[in-house]
Amino acid sequence: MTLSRQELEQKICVGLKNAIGKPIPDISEDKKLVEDLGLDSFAALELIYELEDTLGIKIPDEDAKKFVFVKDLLDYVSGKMELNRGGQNVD
Amino acid sequence: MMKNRRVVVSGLGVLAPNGIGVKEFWQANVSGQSGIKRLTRFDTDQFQTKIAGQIDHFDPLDFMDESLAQKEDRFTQFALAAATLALQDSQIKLDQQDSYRLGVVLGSGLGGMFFYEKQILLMQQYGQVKTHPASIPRIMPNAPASQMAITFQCKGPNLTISTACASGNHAIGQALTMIKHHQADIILAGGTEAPLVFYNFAGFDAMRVMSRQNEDYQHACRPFDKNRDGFVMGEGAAILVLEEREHALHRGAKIYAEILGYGTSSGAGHMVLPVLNGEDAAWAMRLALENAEIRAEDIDYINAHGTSTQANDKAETQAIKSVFGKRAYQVPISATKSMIGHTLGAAGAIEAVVCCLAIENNIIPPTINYQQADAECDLDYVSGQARQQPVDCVLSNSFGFGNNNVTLIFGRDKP
Repeated sequence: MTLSRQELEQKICVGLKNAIGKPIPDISEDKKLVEDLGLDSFAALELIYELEDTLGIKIPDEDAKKFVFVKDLLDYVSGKMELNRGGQNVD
Repeated sequence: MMKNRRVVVSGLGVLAPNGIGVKEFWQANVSGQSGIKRLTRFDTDQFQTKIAGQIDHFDPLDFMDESLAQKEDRFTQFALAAATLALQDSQIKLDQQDSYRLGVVLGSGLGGMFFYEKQILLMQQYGQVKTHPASIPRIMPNAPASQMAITFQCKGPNLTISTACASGNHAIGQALTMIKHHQADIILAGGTEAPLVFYNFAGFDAMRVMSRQNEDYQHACRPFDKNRDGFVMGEGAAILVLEEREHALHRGAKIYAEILGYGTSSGAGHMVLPVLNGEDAAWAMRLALENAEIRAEDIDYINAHGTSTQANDKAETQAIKSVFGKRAYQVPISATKSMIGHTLGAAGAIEAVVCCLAIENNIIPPTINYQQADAECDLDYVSGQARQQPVDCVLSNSFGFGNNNVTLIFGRDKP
């Protein structure tokens, strides 16, 4: 699967809304997942499950615990997708 | 309110990972004996949690004919066994009772999981043609209550309550209310759960709510301890014979305790996580105290929900402090789950048995595995050893997924 960074950000936005269970008006890279967007520990599990399922990647628990900002998650997922493609350039 | 009829407990039946029957169960509880071990019912390779509270020495044929046993899911077998033990204990002569004044109220969170899984797997392999015609009556959550009605000819109210881990306490509370409102004179009330089934376990494992201390399984369930990392799932059932007090006295029944109060609330916050400041749980406790017409200072022992999760034990401690004030630091609190794990819909009922026996014996069973104090859980959890002291009044909490809270209050029977 080849996705641009913008498309990945869209996937994360949808994942966040689905996990939290309500519309979230303003999701941007600089938002904090817990403090700004209200992602609780259980919704975080649901988000990880959805991203793993839709993107075909694995996000271990010990990595997931480190995400503070939306940007952290986006950078991580982008990196994983790139690894999956065998290190090809992302446009 | 409802002063005219009082409700007492005149019989107990229990199946738990550390004992079947009152005598074995109580002995295990006061000696701090754990029933938690490595899970052997199915392959746990895929799971992060590999331990559970299994009842390995249960044989349904000790309690029913094989023809009935093979028709019923395990959770129904548990309920029938517990009811048989409770009725024997109560010495009620069923044939001398008006069957329409005899009811059943049970709690169960999940229903007939064993049979449900078996049917799903058969259908995947063979299609609809292999679906057992009795699937629904075996799986439905009200199967145990209905089978109890058939077996013991209880033609009074028959209810099943499903509020996850609060189901057992809710069932007892509802039964109390129904007897007080003249809907029955005797109700077999309790809970049953047989959740140690592959696909069900997978669901809980995915939630990361269970302990992963698999090697040190004896110490895995450690309510209120700083290093607690989740609950340990257990299976079991308990039935209490609830009886209108005059009815019990008239037949010379042994009375374990009176049920004095029942309070319930919803946190209205989250499907899984408790409300962290415990205000909703505190409400349920206050309501129970209010309708028991007793004060917090009169409580001699709190049987906590105490699951060994970070969230519950912290929230419950907060709630207790909110209700009890300074007395929170003096009232002994212990967690039955430290020894038997979390039996979900059966938990409140099994813990109600503990409450009744604590009153009967003036002994408070311990919380085991409490090794390191947590600054946020700093009350007296009766660590390690049972405590002998007067126990006249006990408060018991159960809190379920979906933010369901319920508190019962038990008291020594007095004129």
